[in-house]
Amino acid sequence: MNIYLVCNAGMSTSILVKKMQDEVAKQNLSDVHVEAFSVEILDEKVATADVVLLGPQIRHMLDDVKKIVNGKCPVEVIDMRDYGMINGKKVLEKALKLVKK
Amino acid sequence: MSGTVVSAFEKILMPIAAKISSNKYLLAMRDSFSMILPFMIVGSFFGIIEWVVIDPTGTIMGAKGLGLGAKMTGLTGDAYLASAFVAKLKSIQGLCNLVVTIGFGVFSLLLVAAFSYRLGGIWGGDKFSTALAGIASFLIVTPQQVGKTGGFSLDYFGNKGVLSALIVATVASWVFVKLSKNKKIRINMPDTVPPAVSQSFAVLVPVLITLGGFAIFAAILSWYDVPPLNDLIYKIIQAPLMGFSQGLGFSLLYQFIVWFFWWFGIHGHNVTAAIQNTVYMPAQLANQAGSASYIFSNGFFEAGLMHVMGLVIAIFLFSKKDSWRAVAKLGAPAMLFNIQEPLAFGIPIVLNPILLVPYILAPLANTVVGWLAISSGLVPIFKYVVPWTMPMFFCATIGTGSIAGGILQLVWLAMDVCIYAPFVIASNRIKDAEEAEE
Repeated sequence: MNIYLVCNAGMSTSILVKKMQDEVAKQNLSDVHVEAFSVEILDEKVATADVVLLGPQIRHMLDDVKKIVNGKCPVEVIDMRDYGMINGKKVLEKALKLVKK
Repeated sequence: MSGTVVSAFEKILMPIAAKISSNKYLLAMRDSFSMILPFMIVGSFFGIIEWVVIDPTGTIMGAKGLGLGAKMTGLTGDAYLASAFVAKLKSIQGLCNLVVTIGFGVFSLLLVAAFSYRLGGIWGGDKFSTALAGIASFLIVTPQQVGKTGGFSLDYFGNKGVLSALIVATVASWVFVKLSKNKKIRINMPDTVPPAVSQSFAVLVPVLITLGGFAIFAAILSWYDVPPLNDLIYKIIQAPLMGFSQGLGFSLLYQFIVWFFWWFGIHGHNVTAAIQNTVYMPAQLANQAGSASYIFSNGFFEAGLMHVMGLVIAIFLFSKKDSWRAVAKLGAPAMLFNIQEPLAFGIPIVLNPILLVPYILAPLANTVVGWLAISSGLVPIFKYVVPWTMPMFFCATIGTGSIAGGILQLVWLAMDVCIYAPFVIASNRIKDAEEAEE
């Protein structure tokens, strides 16, 4: 399963991804892959996405990202609070819940 | 500030940000600049070696600096300058300069290639062919002789060429892609011809018309004794634009817009990237090339990103809110590398009425103080391109090529702590009310 986080340059998102990966290891979810990158290359990665999460600083690009994803998988903005607290556990839970839906 | 005012503003700002960020043309422009950035950083790296580290009369080797050259050779004055050691250093400098030329001297040429490539992508043409058509068109409108001998002057490919690169790439790519999608002018080869061959024939007419068009344009300018297109664009648009953007007023307005957007939780630098790329990046390049000294450049503004560190320190010193202290601890390591998002969304700074004033005031104050420090000659201009994630002090020391730059960042930090402190202290008082609400 591929969880993709996108933001402007993939910088701050990668800090969150690190925490999410720790959580993945802790919970032994061997098939979960978490990755962060710039929104500019989303079109190249979208084919393999199971869920796409946006950093809140580019939440104004939600419609655009939805267009790129084109209904292939769920797209949502990460909660500002969870993003700021670098709460890997909560964001991972949210991502998994979105995929299951 | 009441909630309704905030949401009214958000209603205005969000669509603006969405429009600008999703504009494919601006995205392509931003993307093409980031494609070239590694070349500029590498060019800068070699520039620092050339001008700072091994310059026989520079900061490290020279008598005015550390004087390492004299220590290594045991010679001083004219004897040192005439030594084989200095000759060797000079020859290495020349070799470094070959790379510096790539990152800066021919920056605009790289930009034409990258931008045309991206434009080819968004307009639905063959990307690589579009890039080639862009480069070819740019070279056609560039004078192909220096004095009386054949050749290109680097003047047209460096910082002065940025705007003409953008304009020529746009026109050439648009014409080329439109034409190559037109089936009527496509030369179709039989199916038995290899695809690579038929592809080259397919774009033959579009290439002919695109290049021919630019050639006719260049010829008309030359017949009527008008300067070449590159000079025209530079004189009529780029130079006035650069002059205007160097004003303190414009720079403050630019900073205000960036940080106001950020306060709404919208990536301000993303929204204003076009301004940054068309005026502050060329300013930086001109500084590095030594052809001008602009105070306000990309490096200048990126050095000021550290102002949020002032908030972190103010929180450690004065805040009694456990939640703020926890986020500050969490966000400080990222903030060392100028990544402010955890703090922006965690404290949160975003939409926080108490922090609105210092969050915008601090970068504006930094801009004014930086302007005073550089225009009075205390601190050199920001000359070298440094990645924006370079930690404070090192960022401006390397960027300006002088410790004075690093000291400026420390002065900024002290000032920013003072600007944030009263607001952090004020927030202590509303602690109880807020927590009761939660």
